[in-house]
Amino acid sequence: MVELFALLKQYRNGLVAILVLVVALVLMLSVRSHDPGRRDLISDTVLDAVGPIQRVLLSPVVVYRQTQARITELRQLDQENTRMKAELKRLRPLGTLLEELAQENRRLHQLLNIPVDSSYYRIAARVVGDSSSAFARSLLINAGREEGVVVNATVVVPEGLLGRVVRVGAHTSLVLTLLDLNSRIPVVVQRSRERAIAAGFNGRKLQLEFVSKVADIEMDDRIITSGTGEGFPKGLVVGRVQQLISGGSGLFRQVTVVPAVDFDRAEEVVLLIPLQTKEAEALPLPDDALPSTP
Amino acid sequence: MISSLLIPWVPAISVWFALVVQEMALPFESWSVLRPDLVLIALFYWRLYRSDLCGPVLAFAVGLLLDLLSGMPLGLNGFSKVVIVLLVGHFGIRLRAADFLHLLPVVWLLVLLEQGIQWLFFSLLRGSSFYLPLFIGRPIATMLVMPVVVFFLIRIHKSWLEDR
Repeated sequence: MVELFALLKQYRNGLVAILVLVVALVLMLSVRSHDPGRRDLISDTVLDAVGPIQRVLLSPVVVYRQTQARITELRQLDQENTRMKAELKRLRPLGTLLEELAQENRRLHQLLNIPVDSSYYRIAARVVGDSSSAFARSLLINAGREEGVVVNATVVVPEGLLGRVVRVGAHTSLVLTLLDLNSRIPVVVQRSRERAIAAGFNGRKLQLEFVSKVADIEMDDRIITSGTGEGFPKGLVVGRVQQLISGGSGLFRQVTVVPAVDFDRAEEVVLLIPLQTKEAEALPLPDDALPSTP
Repeated sequence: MISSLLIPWVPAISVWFALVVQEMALPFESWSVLRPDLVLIALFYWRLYRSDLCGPVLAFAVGLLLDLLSGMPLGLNGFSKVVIVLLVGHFGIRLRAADFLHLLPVVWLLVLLEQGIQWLFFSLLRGSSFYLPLFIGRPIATMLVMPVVVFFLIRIHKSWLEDR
């Protein structure tokens, strides 16, 4: 027995080595990785022992990766920001154009809604020039003879009467506004039906001529076309009475009217042309079409 | 008192630490291929210079832990590590006489041998599974990091185990 122990002691290292090799082989052959029970418990314990240390060791790596991800994200944000700015720069004029088109659409709708005497037909046109000066208040429109425009055609906007055509070209016409010194329009006071002549004097207002001192006219009375004379249909709004002066020794009083139309802002207009004119010229009736814009 | 109790376990603790570092999931795609066998380096060093504190039992235990952590067949790493430790022990005198540069190809060969043993047993147990990049990459990576690991092991050795 003693000899056996001495022998074991002598070959202890070799025996231990053989033993662990055999154990390793037995383990390899007998234990499957999916075997339940003790293996999982040991595995879990080892993982729990290693996991926290690895987490601590990996923390610089985690910080590095987070920083890297953040930098990438910031770079992407920067690129996106640049792209969005370029997009905005590209779209901004489109937004302005969109707003412009919306406003034009609104104005054209209003033009279409102008009530028109059935004995007139209408042509839409766009104001393309303002040839006003100290001695004349006239506008240029992009519709002319070819579009069916005739001299003395009434020009209106949604707010009321603008003037009349005094000269017609092939595709352009000159409009004499109510403010022009040469403009004379037969009008009536809507409330009292007092008649008068609205005259321009190259200013921003109109004067009513031939209004007697006893005429029934008050401040803020609406002035409309009378329909008498040539060209102008009845009932178009001209403006409102702003000032009444009865002083002096004459027969008439001085009446100032503020036009309903803002002449500086007129962009699209409608021309009212008597049907009989068109029939006389044996031209086909045009539709309510807007001429091509310049 | 505590340090004197701890000293015999220094190689085991350093091997354990090498195992923890080795099994870290670093965010590199090639890490699985180029993961150096730090455990083998530590076992090699301690078996060479403190064979009394690093024997087949430690190698077997660390191998088992590696198997548990990596999900390999239990005993596979244990077996291969024990073989390596026995080989290093057998040629210990000659290896200790060699300079460090000559030890590098030895380590390379040992890792290759370990890979070969593992591949052989893995093939027998679970069918053939040969991944050439892993087979070549790991020995090279181990050889390349060996100077750094050995530097730290020498520091530990001198700090804790010199003249004790």
